[in-house]
Amino acid sequence: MPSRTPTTKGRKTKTREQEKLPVCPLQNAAANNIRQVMDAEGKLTGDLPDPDIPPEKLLHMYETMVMVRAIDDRGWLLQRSGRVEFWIPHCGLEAVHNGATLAYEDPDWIFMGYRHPGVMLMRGVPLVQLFAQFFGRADEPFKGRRLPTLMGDRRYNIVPMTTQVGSYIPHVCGAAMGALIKGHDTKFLAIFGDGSSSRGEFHSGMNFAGVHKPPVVFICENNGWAISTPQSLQTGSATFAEKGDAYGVRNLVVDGNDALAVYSVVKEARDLGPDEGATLIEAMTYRMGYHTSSDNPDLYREQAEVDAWAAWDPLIRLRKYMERKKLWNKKKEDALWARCKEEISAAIKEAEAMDFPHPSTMFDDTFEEMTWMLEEQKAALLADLEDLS
Amino acid sequence: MNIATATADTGTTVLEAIKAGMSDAMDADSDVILMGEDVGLAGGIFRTSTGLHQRFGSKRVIDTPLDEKGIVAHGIGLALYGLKPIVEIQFSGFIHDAFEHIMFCAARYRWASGGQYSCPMVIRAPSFGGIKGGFWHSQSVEAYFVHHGGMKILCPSTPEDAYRMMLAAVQDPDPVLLIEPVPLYRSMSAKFEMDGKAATIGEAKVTRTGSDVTVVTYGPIQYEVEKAAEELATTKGYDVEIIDLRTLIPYDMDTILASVKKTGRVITVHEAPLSMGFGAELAAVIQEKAFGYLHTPIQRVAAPDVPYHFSIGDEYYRPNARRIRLAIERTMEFEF
Amino acid sequence: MYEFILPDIGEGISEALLINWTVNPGDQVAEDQEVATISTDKVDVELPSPRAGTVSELCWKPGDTVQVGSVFMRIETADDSAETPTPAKVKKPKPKAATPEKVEKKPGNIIAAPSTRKLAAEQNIDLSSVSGSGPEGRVLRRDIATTTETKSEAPSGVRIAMAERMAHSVHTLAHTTMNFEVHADGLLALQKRLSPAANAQDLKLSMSVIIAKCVATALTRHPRFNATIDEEAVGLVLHNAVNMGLALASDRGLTVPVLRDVQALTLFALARHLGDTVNKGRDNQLQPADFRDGTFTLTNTGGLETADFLSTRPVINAPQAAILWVSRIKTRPRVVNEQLEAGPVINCSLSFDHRFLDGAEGVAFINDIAELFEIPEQALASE
Repeated sequence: MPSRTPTTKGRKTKTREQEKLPVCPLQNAAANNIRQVMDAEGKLTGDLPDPDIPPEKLLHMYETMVMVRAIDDRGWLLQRSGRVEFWIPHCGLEAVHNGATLAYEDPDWIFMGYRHPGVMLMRGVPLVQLFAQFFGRADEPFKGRRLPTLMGDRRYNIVPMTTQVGSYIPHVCGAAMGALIKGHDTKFLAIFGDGSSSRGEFHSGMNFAGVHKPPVVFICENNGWAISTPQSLQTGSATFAEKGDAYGVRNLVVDGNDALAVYSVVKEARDLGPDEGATLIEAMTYRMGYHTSSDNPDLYREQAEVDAWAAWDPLIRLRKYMERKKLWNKKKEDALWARCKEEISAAIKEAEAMDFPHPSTMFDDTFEEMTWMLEEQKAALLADLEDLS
Repeated sequence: MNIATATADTGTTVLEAIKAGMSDAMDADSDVILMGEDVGLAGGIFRTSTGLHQRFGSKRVIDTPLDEKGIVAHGIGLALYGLKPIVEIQFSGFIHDAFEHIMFCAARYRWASGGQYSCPMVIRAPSFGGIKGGFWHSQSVEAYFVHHGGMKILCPSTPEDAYRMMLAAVQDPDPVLLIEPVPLYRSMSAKFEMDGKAATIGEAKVTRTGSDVTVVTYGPIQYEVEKAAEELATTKGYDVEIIDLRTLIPYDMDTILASVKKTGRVITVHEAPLSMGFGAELAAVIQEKAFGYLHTPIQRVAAPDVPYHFSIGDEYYRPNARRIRLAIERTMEFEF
Repeated sequence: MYEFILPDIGEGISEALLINWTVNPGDQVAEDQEVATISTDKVDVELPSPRAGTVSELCWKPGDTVQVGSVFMRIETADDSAETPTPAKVKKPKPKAATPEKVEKKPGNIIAAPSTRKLAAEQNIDLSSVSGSGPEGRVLRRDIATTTETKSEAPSGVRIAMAERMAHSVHTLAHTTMNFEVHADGLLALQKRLSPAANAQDLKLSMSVIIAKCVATALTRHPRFNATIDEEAVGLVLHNAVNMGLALASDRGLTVPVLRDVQALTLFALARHLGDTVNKGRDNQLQPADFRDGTFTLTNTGGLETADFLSTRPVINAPQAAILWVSRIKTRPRVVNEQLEAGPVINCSLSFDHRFLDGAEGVAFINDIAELFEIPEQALASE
């Protein structure tokens, strides 16, 4: 299998010879004020107690995390062989969005980003629907209109992201204000990246949240990199979480590769009382893969840093935790991976055989009722198609 | 039941009509809320919402932080959740910070979600010059928002239209940009029945019938067109037809074409800048659909492609009756 | 046979350098098995195989630059069917929305307004054969009209309009015509007396001006003749202003420009106005507004007459209610103070719509016209 890292081009070389090898900040979680349940070996060493998630739910989360990893492995290859046009990797980020989704109830609303396919799977969206979306086929909720991995589905209360990173931060805040106005007890979750915190929308959303106290958990998924921009060039703040202080928004940093810790802090924040408002959670994690299939991380980051984070792989940590609890073993692990790959292959086969959308459907859903202007343009397109055929 | 109380003799001002429209919409549907800077106890900087906060409370009339992007973006969230927000931008000159959210979120949610979500909301944009407002307070921003579908754009220029279009905008299933005529807020009043009936979106109005030349316009500048038409009727016997578009998206092509086929001469008038303005679109589509009927080139009267000048803008930047008259004369004198 | 097309793996890559193959022809490859390493200007990547099968052909050598979209390699697959789905079947377009107006094909390099081109097409005239008299050689409607005249074929727009109006008038109105003769000494004397003053102001005091002024004065005394017919209301609409249509013969046919507020104009002002109108008519400069709102028509064929015309039956210019024809002033036998003599007379015919105007009214109107013609100074004096 081709690997994703070694290449011959643009490898960044050390300029400062004496520099020490990078250390994963999760290794010193307490010192870094990072909330944690377990260490790299799945041992309960952190400041947070074991959340004791019921085995059935725990296994559902772990199996989904493995499936998410397997999807990323396969999606990458599909892109490189030209079968998927574009790929946004999510390897290494599985604990954040799967742990957070587990902390929420199905009627709650989640605004997901593009590295979070587990949100869909955790809520029961069929795997083939995801691949139909990756392949841009007609028979998926967005009718083939959006880049691969830009997903959502109202039937599962998952609001599609708006492509521009972070633009949905005030949207989720507004929706949560709506629930307050209507007197509903719907809760809200939004997951966005560290780079999004620099956008005005982050300010708008936090500012409104501080004033109006809507029931939202904002997860700032700090994966180390906004394409090629590291935290040091993104903000002068020591953490992304502390930005919440300026807005009067409760905040904390959590080990984003510790699914149990993510679950614990998100669950606590979700279950806050109606007057306690929003929480900003910075989840420390690492984007193991490229930014997208068009990226080349060798131009800006060092393999040693990637390697340092690899030892804190969220899948391995949770697996070891479950093995300690006698809930898991090698046999089950191998069977799970085999099943995931098999299901993915079947989903690919089924999705690839689906039709592309008819060109004229591009006019649908622009307005509830098509304007005469669009009707004319649609008629022109149909005439053009007839001319082609 | 209207908060706006019309005096018996002068009728209702545009400003009162807007307030009455919002008030009636909020009475009719508890999901309708108003949010914006200073819309609460202050009643908005133009006082278009005076009394609404006292009437509907702070949950439905929300004073927001000073953040246009935030106001529109939170309105989108509210709309996604099922409310019908009316969001006020104090001056349309300040709307550009919210552009991404208006055009690429509100106007796109339905399409981008395959029809699963929509953002029915009203974005109020007080616009237009003639108030010695300088370039931030006198902008005509419509051309920035007409470029792709998903957003309806209304522009009332009478008290009755202001009232009925507000109701129509609130009831519409798609997001609506309501371009409000600041210069007419207090200067224009009329009597009409505030009966809760909404305007029909997409219908223009022929405000003056004539057979020589068609002037397509919208917004307060149409009253300058009227002046020019009256003058020319007396001095030259020209018979000018004036169309108030009222809806920019989707505009009323049928009314325009019927008029153009009658007169064979067309002038577009708006106070937004000339190049790539709404008049350019009208000119293009008219020649596509009625080429053989045209006696003369289509003329555009508009502002120059520069900012609205503070001290001399009202006289020399904004089109006026004189410039419109000259355009009509040029058109009428063109030999065909 | 499956053709592996080199994909654009980086949003806008157009070509890639083939570094090496990791398979050979004849090898079995699995789906997603690495087959080659390529280098692009963004990144170096290993390419996986999209299909399982036997490598049939490697289309390029290491070191080759391969264009995105070209066949990279060929693979013999077990299942060669159903490779890529095609877009959904294209349905027939609904002929629903409006298509742009059909416009006739024209030879190039002709300048003409669209409506003029349309007119030419309707009249089957090749615009390239018409020389344009407008600015930059633009072909004008009148140029087309000239063409039609010389061809004696299709009628001009003016003639069509006139024909329709006249036919309507004759078929709808109850035309009644009264003929009369007036001694013209007074008219001639006034013209002679005032001409030097007019000439000093660069004006030509034509007989038409004096006659028009006299008729306008008569009309103010008989407002039911200064009227338009409202067919729906079955009645007359009376007008304060005398907007007098003046029938002019031109190369395009009969046109009737309207002189506004004749009752309010001084004789010289009317002379100037009439002169301008005649000039504009001759130059085809009259605008639509110049033809509107007429309340009465005066037709004077004096300039065209060589024969002695004693009467005509002028057709009313509907919706106006009446029309007056006058001849040129000529020397005719007449009776003055019971004596037969030769002297200047003018012959006139008044047509009116008998549905709304009766004979007694016609006689009274004619009496006043005759008196004003005999002593035209009255017209100058009246308010």
